[in-house]
Amino acid sequence: MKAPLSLTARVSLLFAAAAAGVLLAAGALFEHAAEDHFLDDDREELVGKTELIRRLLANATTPAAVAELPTLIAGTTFGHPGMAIAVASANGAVLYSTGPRAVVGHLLASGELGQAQPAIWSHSGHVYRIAASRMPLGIPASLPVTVAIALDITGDRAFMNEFRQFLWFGMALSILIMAMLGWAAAQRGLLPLHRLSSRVAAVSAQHLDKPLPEANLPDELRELVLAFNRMLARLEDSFRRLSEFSADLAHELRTPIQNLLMQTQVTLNRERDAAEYRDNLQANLEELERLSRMTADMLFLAKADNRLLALRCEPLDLQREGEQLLTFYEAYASDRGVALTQTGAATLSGDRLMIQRALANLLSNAIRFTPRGGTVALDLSESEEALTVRVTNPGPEIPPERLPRIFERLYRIDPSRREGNAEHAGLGLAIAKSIVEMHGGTIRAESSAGRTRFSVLLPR
Amino acid sequence: MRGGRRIDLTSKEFALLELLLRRQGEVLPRSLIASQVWDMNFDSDTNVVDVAVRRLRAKIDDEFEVKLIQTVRGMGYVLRAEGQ
Repeated sequence: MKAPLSLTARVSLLFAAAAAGVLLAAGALFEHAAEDHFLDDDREELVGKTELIRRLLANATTPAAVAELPTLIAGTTFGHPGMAIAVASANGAVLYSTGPRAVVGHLLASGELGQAQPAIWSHSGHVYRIAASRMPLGIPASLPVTVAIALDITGDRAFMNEFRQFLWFGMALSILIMAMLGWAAAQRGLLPLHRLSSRVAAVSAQHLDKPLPEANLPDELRELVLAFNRMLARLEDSFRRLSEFSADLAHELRTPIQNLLMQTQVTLNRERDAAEYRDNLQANLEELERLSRMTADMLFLAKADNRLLALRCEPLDLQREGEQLLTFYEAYASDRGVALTQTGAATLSGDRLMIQRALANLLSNAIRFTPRGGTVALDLSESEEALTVRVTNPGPEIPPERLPRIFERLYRIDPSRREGNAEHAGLGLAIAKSIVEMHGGTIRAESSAGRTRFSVLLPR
Repeated sequence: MRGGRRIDLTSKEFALLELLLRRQGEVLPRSLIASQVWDMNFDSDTNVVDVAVRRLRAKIDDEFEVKLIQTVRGMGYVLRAEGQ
C-alpha cells in the first residue's frame, strides 16, 4: 500500500492547485479582454472607413465628381500604412484601388462581400482584417459598387503574441512561487502538530500519570489531545491494576510456597519413619493442589482475556442447571446453616460448563458470606431479548466504593483475610464475570439493606 | 442395610455410595466424585465434596467399628471393604 501524502505536501499541493486555478482563470479572462479590445478597435476603424467611403460615393452625383473619387479615397488611407481599398463595379471591373498590389488582388479575387464578421487573411508575414460591402453611387440610376477594405493588423497581432507569452510565463512563475509559499505556510502552520508529536513520543509507561498540556492549543488539536489524555488515563488505570495484580499474585503464591518449603525442611531435619514421610507428602500434595488450582484459574482468566477460549454453545435450561447446582451445594450450605431457594425459569444458548462454573462461583461466594440461619436465593427470569439471573444473600454490606472492584482478580474486601483463606484465592467472581462477558452479558453487584445481590444479564 | 440396621440415604448420598462401591479400592479424586455424582464438570474450589462425604460417613460409618470410607489426604476418598 502506498503511504498517504504528508500533510505539508497535501496542504501545499492543494494551495498551489487553488492558486493555479484562480490565476489561469484570470489570465484567460485578461487574454480574452485584450483580444476583444483589438477586435473592437479594428471593427470600428473598418466601419468608420466604410462609412466615409459610402458618403464620398453618395456625394459623387456628377461624372466630374466621380472622376475625383480616387483622390478623395486615397486621402482616407492617409496615416494608415498597409491599408488597401478596392472599389469594383457590379460586373467586376476595377474602378479604383490603393495599397499593396498583392492585397488589392486578394480583395478583388475573394469577393467576400457584406460579411458581418471581418475576415482574417495572412499574406507574406502580414495579417489583414478585411471588410467588404455593397453601396450605391451618387449618380442616379447607376449600379451599386463593391467596396473592400483590408486593414493591416500585423502589429496588433505581434503585440498580442508578446502579451500572451508574458502573461503565461508570469502565470507559471506565480504558480511556482505560490506553491513554495504554500509549502512554507503549511510547514509553519503544522508546527503545533510537530511539537505535539514530540511530546506524545516522550510518554512512557513510567509517565502515564502526566497528561499532555491542554492549554494553548489550536482547536483542531485540542480534541485530539483531550482524546489522547482520556486514553492515557484509561491506560494508566489498566497499568496500575496490572501491577497491583502481579504484586497480589506474587503474594498469593508466596504463602503456599513458603508453607511447602517449611514443611519439607522440617521433615528432612531428621530421620523419620515411613508414616511421617507419607503424612508430610500428603500435606504437600494438598498445598500443591491449591497452587495448581489457582494457576489453572489464572490461566483460564488470561485465556479469556485474550479470547482464546472457544464457547461450545448449546441450548440450556437454566432452571434445571440451577436445581443441579443447588443439590450440589445443599450439604455444604446446610453444614453452614444456610438455606438455598430457587425461583423462576429461563433458557439460554450457552456453554454448559462455563455457565455452570459461573453460577457455581456466584452461589459459593453467596453461601460463604451468609450468616448462619440465612437464605441464599437464586432467581431466574427472562424477557423477549434477555434473561436475568439473580443471586441474593443476606450478610454484611459491601461498601459502595468497593463494589466495582470485587470482580477484580485476587481482590478481597477485607485485606486482613488474605492470609488465612487459602481455599479461596479471590478469583471466583473474576471468573464469573469473564464467563458472563464471553457470552455477551453483563454482571453487577449491589449491596444495601443488609443483603448483597449479584445480577447477571445475558442476551438471548 | 448395614449390620442389620436400616439406613436412609438421600438420592445423592446413594449415588455417592454407589460410585465408591463400584470402584472400591480405587482412590477417587474430589473432582471425579463431583463430576460423577453431581455432574459438576469444572474444578470446584470448595470443599463441597468433603461435606457430602462427611455426611455419608456419618450415616454409614460412625456407628460401626469397621470404617468403610477412608480419606486419602491430598488425593481423595476410597472405599475399602473389611478394613483392608
